[in-house]
Amino acid sequence: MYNAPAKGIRTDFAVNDIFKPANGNAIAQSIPYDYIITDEMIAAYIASRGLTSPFPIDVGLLLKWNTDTGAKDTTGIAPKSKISVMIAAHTDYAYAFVFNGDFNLDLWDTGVSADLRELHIYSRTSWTLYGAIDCATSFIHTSGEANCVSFNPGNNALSSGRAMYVGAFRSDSASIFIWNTVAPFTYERCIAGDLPSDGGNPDAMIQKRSWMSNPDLSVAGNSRVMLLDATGPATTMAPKGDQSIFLSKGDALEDIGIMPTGAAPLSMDAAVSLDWYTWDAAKTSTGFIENPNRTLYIDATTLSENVVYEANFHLLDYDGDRVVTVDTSTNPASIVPPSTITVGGVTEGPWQFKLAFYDNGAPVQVHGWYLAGTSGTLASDLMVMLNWNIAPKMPNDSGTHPLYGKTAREIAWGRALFAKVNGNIITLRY
Amino acid sequence: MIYRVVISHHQAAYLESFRKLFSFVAVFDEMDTFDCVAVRKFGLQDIETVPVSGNRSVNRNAGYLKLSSVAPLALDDIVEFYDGDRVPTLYDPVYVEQTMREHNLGALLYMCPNDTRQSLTGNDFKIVDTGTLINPFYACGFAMTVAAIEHVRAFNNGPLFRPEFTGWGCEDQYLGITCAHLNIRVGLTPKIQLSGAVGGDSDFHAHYRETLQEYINLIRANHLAIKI
Repeated sequence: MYNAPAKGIRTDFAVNDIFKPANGNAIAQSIPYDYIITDEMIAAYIASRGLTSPFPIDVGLLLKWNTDTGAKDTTGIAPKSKISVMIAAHTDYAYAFVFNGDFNLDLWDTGVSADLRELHIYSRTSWTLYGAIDCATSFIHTSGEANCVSFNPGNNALSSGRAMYVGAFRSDSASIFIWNTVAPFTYERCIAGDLPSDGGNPDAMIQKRSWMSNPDLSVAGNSRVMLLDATGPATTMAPKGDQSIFLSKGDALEDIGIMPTGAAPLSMDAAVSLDWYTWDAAKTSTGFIENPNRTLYIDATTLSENVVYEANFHLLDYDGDRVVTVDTSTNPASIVPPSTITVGGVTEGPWQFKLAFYDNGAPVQVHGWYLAGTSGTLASDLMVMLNWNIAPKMPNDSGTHPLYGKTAREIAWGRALFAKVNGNIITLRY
Repeated sequence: MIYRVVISHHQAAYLESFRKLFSFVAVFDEMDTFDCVAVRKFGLQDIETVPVSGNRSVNRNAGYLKLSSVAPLALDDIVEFYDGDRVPTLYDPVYVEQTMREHNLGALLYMCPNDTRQSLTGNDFKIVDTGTLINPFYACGFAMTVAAIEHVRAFNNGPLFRPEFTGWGCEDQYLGITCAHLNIRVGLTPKIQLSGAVGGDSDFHAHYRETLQEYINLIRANHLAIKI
């Protein structure tokens, strides 16, 4: 009962696959969790140790606890470079889970590739996780609500005795939170980012749970990813290779591969809406790297008939201080239309954004939009220019702006609504 | 005979302009007021008011029921529906009656300046296809024969506009698909003009995806055909 065997369905687990829906659906089941913490385990842990007052749960101890002997097994938690833990418990209480000691965080040493480098904690939908980690720089990251908290200390070692805490609680309960005297670092900006390759600074990727639940973009708005370095919000954003980032309906962060070569188009199996972030312009002074991708590739076979889908497009920019969502009225120069694109022998453009629906590697429909929202039918059967919904947009700013406090979805730069009806993909608006 | 129903959502300021044009039944949403307890006489015109708090579908339906209770509606009579801020700027009731009878229309849709449906008509009246998922039936200003209204009401087991549409949008598109399903001929004319713009409002309605989903769900539940 101390740990559950890995599901083992997938074997191609890679760092960019770490975020998956934590709601127990088929996709989540495909994650080979190393450990799953259940209600029964927690109940046995509490009973065996005679605990009656609020306490943090030592995960290493929980996993090693033997109720038959009333003591922990001598077998330690085997060190691994990457560990995924699912907190599958349902309770009415809040808990803090401590990962230290028997969980061998001390193995998190500089330059030792076999040591624990990535720790990912998932929760089921009834839980909300907060995470914090103390690394060698004594810097505390605190996260907002998330269904998955992930830590990659890279080459920064955890000092002996340091620990990582994850608070888990139902969404309507207060959190037992963490320990340190260093003031929690508050995330204020919405940033699309990516995990750096191994060896980077400590980064925390926080994934907000539900896509319309929190109105305050500056604290915990729509599904988003934040990138930090050791001192604060990162000013560096980079595509992963030449992939773009998108976030599904509060559930998973996934990379969209480039097309027509590379990774597969996006699957809409688990979502009816998505937020797609892209950014523009080269800001070499800050390391801001251009992401020229303007085409969102969707696997048409994963669209269900008669379901209305929504794709929110977020164009990001950097205003010299932080990453912001683009307000075209104030930053028109930062919007660089892509060059012309040739599809099916027809050269068109410049497009601002395109939705490309693919079926078994071949494009079945491509919808494109100009910034001005003009529309028309092109010579190519594949490409249709349509008006799309230009959602209210604003700089990601605080204060008196009338759109401050809106969710990211509400200030998307553009929005496409589409549905598959009788096998045809139709974009919808008045 | 042409009768009118005007629905209003915080648009009482426009109703005086409507009153100057014709007699009508006005339906008020929430806190709107327009002498709602008074039946006003203006020359030979009577204005009935129906204080109702509801959505666009509910209010239009209530306005029609009120109208049918105070007026001797005949099947070939015409009822116009207007949104509260869509005061006609170019209007000819003789044209409306003649066009609808000449072309055997069940419904005639009016247009606005910068109307997104302009490509369908040019400068003249056209019969339009309202059988597609996104079709040109906008209810901001239109006319419908009593016969067509009653045909739709019978198909819907009562309401003209489906009350399931509680948010913004799609209740008129659904009526459009219903008309196509029932072979009710629909025309679109630039000869009757309404104030304001039309189309594109969906940008700013946060729950439009849910409304569209309700739209598709109802289409399927009632076995309406969709032309692609």
